[in-house]
Amino acid sequence: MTIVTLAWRNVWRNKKRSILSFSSVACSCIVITLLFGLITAMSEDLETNLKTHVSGDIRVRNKQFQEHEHLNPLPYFVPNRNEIRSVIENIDGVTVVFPRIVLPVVLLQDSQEGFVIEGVDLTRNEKFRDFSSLLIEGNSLAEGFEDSLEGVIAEGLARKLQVGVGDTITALSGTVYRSSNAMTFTIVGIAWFSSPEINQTRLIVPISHAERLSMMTGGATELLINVENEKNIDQVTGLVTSSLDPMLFEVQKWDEVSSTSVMLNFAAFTYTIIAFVFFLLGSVAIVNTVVMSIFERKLEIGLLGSLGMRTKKIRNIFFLESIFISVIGSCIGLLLGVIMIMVLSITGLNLGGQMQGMSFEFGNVLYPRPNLVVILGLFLYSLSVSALATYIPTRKIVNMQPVDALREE
Amino acid sequence: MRKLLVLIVAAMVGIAAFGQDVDAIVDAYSENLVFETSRGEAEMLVKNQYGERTIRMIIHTMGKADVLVEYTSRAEQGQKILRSENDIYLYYPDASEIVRLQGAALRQSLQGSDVSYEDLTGGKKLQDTYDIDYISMEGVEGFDTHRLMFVAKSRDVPYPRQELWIDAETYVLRKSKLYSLSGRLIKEVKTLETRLIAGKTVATKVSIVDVLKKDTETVLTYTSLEVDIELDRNLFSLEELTF
Repeated sequence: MTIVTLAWRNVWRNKKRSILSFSSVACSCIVITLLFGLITAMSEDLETNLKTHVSGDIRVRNKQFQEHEHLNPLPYFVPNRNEIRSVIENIDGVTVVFPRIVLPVVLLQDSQEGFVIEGVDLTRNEKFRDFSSLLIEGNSLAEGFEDSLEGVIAEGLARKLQVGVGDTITALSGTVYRSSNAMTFTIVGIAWFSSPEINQTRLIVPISHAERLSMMTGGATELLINVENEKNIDQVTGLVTSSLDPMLFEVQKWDEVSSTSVMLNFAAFTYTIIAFVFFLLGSVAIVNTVVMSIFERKLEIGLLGSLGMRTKKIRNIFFLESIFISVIGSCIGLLLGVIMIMVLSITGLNLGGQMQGMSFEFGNVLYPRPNLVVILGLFLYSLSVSALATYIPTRKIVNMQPVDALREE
Repeated sequence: MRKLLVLIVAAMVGIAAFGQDVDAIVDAYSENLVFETSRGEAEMLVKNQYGERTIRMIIHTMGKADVLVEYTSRAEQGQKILRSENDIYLYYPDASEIVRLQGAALRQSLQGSDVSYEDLTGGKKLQDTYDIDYISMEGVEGFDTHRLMFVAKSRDVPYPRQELWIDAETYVLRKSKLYSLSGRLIKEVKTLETRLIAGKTVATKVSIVDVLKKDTETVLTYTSLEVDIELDRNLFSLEELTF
């Protein structure tokens, strides 16, 4: 009989205690699987929203604008947007360059509600982000009708301002000259954006209107770039940077533009630490089982030792026992965790109430998806922590003399 | 003792005489600022950290209270400001609504210049709004001036303390310093050019510096000014503003 078979049998000698140990490991695995599923969903949603509505794959801005962003420094815009767009569009690996003017404005009504006007290049809007798929009511902005002051409002903002298709809203904006200007827009459509921050603030208008409103003649606050192949993003970023005046422009990849992205990376790191603590707590039950077994089976340890089995081998039996418990517990926990994530991937997890008042670029409703790499990582992680935790009590056996063990018993 | 009494009486007589002088100076100064009607073409050169730009405008006035500013430079073309007795209204050609400025919005800069909308408010008699003290007679850029200190009687004024240097001969403002309630200097105004129009000396080129901003100056120059002309009262109405 090998020590593996012996250890496996020993696992089932006290079923109740073993089940308790499985359960504690399984519970830890379920919680951690769900936590990682959630953070993965947030990261994926954030990436989609940032790339679609905030930065594209790469964003170009005036360096000064970037530096003083909190002051709404409109005078520091990107000049000659069409000229710069042409230069970037000729770079290998670039699929579309999307110039736009983003203006913080206030509603010219008693409420003086703040919102954001996004002036977009209509010839590139669809290619950049399939804008018409976001429409839930009315029409999209039509090319060739830029003369009429029309806009598509985000669903959340429409609700907040209590306006609908056919209504008008007047926005008061700053200009590049630090003066003010106002414009009245007729709402022709309502669009839904998954990012609450965008959904509650945006009014999309043709870039020519935003240009007139801000007096940003020929300019844009930023140019968003989509690349053909995500893997080449670093290379394309380098090419874009070298094609522009480094003193004037700031070129950033999508994951460099948002503090939420940094926050999620930090959250993932924090969750790794939390996972360690959880697995350690889960392992307490295993340690308890091993320590109890050592105490209960001192006669057996003594007998095996006196029959000539090496103490190292005896220790390995107990060590294997704990590994079996850990493997079974982890498998059950991960399986249950994955099933829960599968369910949530269909039903969605609504964080709306919890996220009220906060503005992140990921949606209120998250759809976690099981990630094989993360699951495998968690399995190995759980196993390592359990092994580490049980190694110390099993070392006691090495120092135990068979005669002492038999006498004590 | 008698000597002392004489001195006190003399001093009191002196103060009364000075008080009369201050009123006369301020009245002459106020009178100099107002025409029955006026129409002027002006340029406002705005210098700040973002560069320089010139804004052109036509300014109509009627009496003390009514002012209509209509921008003619390309970027701002069609925008108007109407000041009536107590209110300031903004008209933007692309907006269907007129903006009535009130509260904190009055502190906004006028076209990015060193002038705020608040500076356009007023129209009340200065003596009703401020306690005025005569400081001294001083020379400013070769002109003899009366240096007066204005301290606001209430808090609802843009500048609670003002120091004015008024030309002793022409009663035109030569220089002024505008302070906050705590005595912090906010703005400095200097008259750069004057012109004699209808018997009054009028400041036609004025420099305004908001000392709280970095590297800024605004120079307002009248390129032409007609006074006491025929103007339609309706020009200063809200209906006319949107017409």
